Amino acid sequence: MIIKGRVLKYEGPEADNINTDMIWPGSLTYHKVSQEDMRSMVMNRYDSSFQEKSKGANILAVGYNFGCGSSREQPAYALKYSGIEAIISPQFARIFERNALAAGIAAITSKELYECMSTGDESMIDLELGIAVTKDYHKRFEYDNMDAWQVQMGGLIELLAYEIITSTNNN
Amino acid sequence: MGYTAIEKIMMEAGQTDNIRPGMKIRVTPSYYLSHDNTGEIIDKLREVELLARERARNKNIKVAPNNPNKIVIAFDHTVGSENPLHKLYHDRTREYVKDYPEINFYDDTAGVSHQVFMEEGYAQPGSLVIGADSHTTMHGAANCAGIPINRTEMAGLWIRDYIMLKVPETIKIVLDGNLSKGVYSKDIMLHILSSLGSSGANYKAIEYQGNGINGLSMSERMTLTNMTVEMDAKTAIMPYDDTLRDYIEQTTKGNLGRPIIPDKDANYYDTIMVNLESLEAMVSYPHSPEKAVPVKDTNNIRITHAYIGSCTNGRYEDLEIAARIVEGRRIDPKVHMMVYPASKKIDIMARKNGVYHTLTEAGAKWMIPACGPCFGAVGSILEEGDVCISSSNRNYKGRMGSPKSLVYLASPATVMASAIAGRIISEEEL
Repeated sequence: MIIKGRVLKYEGPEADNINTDMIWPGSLTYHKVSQEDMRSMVMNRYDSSFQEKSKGANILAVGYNFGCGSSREQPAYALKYSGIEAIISPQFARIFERNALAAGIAAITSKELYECMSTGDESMIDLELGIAVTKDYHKRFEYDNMDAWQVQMGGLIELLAYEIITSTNNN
Repeated sequence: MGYTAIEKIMMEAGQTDNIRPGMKIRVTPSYYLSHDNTGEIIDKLREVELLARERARNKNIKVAPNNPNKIVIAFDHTVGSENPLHKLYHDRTREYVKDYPEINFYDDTAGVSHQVFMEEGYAQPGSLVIGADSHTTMHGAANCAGIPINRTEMAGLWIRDYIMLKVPETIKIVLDGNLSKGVYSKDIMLHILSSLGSSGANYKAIEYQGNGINGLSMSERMTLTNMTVEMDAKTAIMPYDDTLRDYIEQTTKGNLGRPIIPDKDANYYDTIMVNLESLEAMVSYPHSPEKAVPVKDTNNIRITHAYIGSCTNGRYEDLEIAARIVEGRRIDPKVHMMVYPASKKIDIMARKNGVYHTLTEAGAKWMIPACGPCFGAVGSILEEGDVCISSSNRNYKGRMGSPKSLVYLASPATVMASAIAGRIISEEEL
């Protein structure tokens, strides 16, 4: 699974501890919101110009403890619908990391990779090999192969459907 | 080399005898817990079904829970809500469980899902429990591992009856000595949070040890394991002892399970010592549980609201402590105080033993067994300028209503003392 594209990076103390409410308003948890509307609201409470800045970017680089707070998964899906395929952070909040994987986003924990990325970089990330190329840097990172498979499938719902089809065919 | 408690539980649930931290393994839990979000989990199963039918061009594919007798559902988050969407999700679940009578379903009169799960005895020593709610860590008070996940993963668990979990490293927290009078387990937790911080246990399991645990009741242990998730821990485990055995024998199922004792030569990521004698009543400032300081260091913080309840501190003991403090006194008329018993059983006991009478006589508003305003969806939701002292677990900006309200976290004793004084003070200062 190879992810190619452009980086949008947030840095400095403000880029640490971005919580789920900043990514996606918790008050909308029990509301049905269209993918279009999710795209237009994601990250708004953190950076009101996120929609402008993230145009053409599919790799998001963020600070420590990204996604802390609630176990809600809308924040991960909202990022997915806005075109984010990979998120790089020195450390993710545990449940967000799982939520991203369920949504089919590659959440990659690497301080080194985060530090050498800059906004506008054209990068290439190989999940199976655990190698990312950005500018002149080649960085190694750890990524579970089964997780890479789930990201490639497009998330957990897709993977479950696939498993059901194959087991139905085998019976 | 030996194994920690979580490693042993994961080896058992994964049917493997060789694991180390960082490995991702396939585990099969004993039970899976969900609440009002079950409606959405059912939606996810339907989504998988439709996708599989479409991809395979086969209209007969049906997606169903593999092991419905492992599913435990108790409504709590939106109980009491007038919102039609909340009702719709509840009804969807009620319809669904009709098709699967094996599902352990508790409708909206039973109480907070975590409390019901404990009282009914689903948390059994040595077992693995997976819950679609962050405070699932609470069940570790029963010497098992409670691990929180999200809704999509819960749908996957219903279908597969297994989940892939990373083996976490373990931090040992050793509690030593006894608490002083007027200091409670919530104060231990707020103290630990103030030093470890809100990501201090990121992806780690916490194992509680030490002679200080002997002096803690089950209710107090649950407060600790419940809020351990606030430092981003994956799970929190208490040891097996007589207190736990007595508790389990009183629960509905009363299954003693297989107690887990960590090996003497187990490998710990870190060890943290907490001397209980030196602790004092604590309070967390807005907008993070980690911003905790001793109550005596606060300076005349006026409050408008007080809340006792939630999965963290809404148990019988908590209400009893509040009743003891307010006996013969009155709540400041300017303070709106709400009491949410964490379960029907607690509600009944409080009514029978006079706790209900004492608290309501003093001016508290007695509510239904549910989460209430804890996460700001139902109940007396805070408005701009409101200041609340709460026995719950989170005080993020806007958590209990308006982003311009303030929430302070403390023990039920401090909440009660503050409601009487109209400002934040400890039981001792009252």
